[in-house]
Amino acid sequence: MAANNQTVLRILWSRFAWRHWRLSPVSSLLLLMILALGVAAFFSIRLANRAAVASFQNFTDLITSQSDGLITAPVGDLSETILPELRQLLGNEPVNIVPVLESSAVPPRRDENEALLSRPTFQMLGLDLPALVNLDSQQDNRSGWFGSATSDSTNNSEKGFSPVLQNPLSVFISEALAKHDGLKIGSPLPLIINEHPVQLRVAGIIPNDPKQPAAPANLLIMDLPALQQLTDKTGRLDCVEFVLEDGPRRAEHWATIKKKLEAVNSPNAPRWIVSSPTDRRSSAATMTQAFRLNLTILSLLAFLVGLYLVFQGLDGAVVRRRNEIAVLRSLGVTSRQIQNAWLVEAAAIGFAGGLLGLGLGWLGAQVAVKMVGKTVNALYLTFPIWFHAHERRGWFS
Amino acid sequence: MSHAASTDRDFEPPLVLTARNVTKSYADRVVLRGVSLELRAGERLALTGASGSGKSTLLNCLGGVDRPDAGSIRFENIFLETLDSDGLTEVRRRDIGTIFQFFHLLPTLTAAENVELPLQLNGVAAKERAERVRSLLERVGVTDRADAFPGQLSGGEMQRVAIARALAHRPTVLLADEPTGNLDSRNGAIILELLRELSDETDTALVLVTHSGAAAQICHREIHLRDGQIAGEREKD
Repeated sequence: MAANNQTVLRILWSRFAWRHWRLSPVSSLLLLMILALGVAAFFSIRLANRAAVASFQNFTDLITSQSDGLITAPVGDLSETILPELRQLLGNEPVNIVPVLESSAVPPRRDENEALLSRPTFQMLGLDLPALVNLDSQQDNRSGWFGSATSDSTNNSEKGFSPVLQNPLSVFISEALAKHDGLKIGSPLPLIINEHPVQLRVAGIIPNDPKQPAAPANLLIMDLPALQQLTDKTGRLDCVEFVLEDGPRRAEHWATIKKKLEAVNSPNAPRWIVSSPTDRRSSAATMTQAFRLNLTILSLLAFLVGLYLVFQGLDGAVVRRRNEIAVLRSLGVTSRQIQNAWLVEAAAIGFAGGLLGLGLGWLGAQVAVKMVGKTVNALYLTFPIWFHAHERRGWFS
Repeated sequence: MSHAASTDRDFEPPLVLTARNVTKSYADRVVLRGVSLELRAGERLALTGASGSGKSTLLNCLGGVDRPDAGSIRFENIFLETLDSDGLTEVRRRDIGTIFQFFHLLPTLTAAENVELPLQLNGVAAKERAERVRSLLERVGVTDRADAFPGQLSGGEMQRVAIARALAHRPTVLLADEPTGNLDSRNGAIILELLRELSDETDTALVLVTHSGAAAQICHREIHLRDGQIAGEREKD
């Protein structure tokens, strides 16, 4: 009575495939590594893409999660003169109006040969810091981050908002940047803003909250008038954010406010565009989508090349073992049984290579995410990061 | 060892293989032209002829490796042309043993494992397998090389192991394609003698393709092929 298919498969695997691998460990390992590298390339780029955008999305989610909406100019920027107009328009609506200016900056060249893209790009955010501090103290009656012990100076005048009053070129940086560049409160931070070299001074470090995504390393926050002056945008804003007070009727209030804002807009010449944080998050994702798609396709190519090379490797193995296959057929092994054995062998290589590739991909992503993030920063990140101090006001109050 | 049954009416062993008007072509070249033969249990038949006369092709057709374009091959009570690929494979697994000129032992298996393989494929129990392998290796004189891999064996030793493998599952017919073609004359003679003895001991029919007159001498009959046809047939005295 013939041995069943399972027995034949077990014989073919244990006495042929496995022994061939053992007898040629280098070529077997090479085949495995080819597939692993293809998987690793694809996986690491996927992870890096997601991380690069997610880091901004998470942060924007965080900082805009309490923001209910915003207005931007249809073209260019907004005038500060709209602020009293907005206050009048919105009347007694329970909303806080937060003007925001965005810009970017790069550190000065270290030497003549340093390329632009090799330098980090900082995203600068100009906010009405005193107003935010007042907002916080009015709302919660608690001392916020400004008054907290984040300053390492015992001099009370260094704490809170006073450094900003003393020096308008004060800037608040992330913990990540502080650690990376060894910056402390009071450290100088030379930058090129609007093509002019500027010497900023670190006034505070935005602390990381373990329950929330950390502030990106390239985020710098300044007082609004100071950034307006540095960027020659005195009296100009990039957007105005609206933050409603917490309450059960919050959504209803926003709907009312949105109606009022849109009511003063002429359809032919709108004064501003009303949008939600969700709209802008998707816009940011769209902008980087082409770049990320490009990377994904390239990584997919690496994966396909790996697959092809494995296919060639197995094809070569079949040719080398053709004699063995013929002998097995003459001894009474069916072609289906031989096919199944090869499929199992290919599946084993695929599984082992894939598993190894996932591990290598994760390791590679640690490097790739920095590179992708850096490029995305440099090429694409002109979109504004709305800061809402309501949630993160621990930074300033 | 099994013995072929003989009828009460005559003492001729039963027919195990019958080929009628077997014709085979490859592309436009006709290799076999209406070849007919019969083989009885325990009988040794030599197929001789020049290169390209169709000897190996005929052997492949008899073993179910190739399908003839015309004609019929009956193996015991089975017409091979009625079988599909799996059916032919089953016949090879169960009833046919093959010996090749270049031995074709499986390189990742030891000598003992090579002999054991047909038994495994035929579902023979482990204990019986072990006993048969031991017995066969002893019979062909390579007991001390049981754990060696083919790469560690001499040509003569490899062919002995190949013979043991071909006989392990007690086939009805043994097909040998130039079994001494790759051996020196001394080893060749030893192998031929071994084939003769084992064929007699096990009552296994043998079809032996050979260029060698000495090989043909161990056979009961010789069929000479020329240009794909039987040019002559003689029986050994």
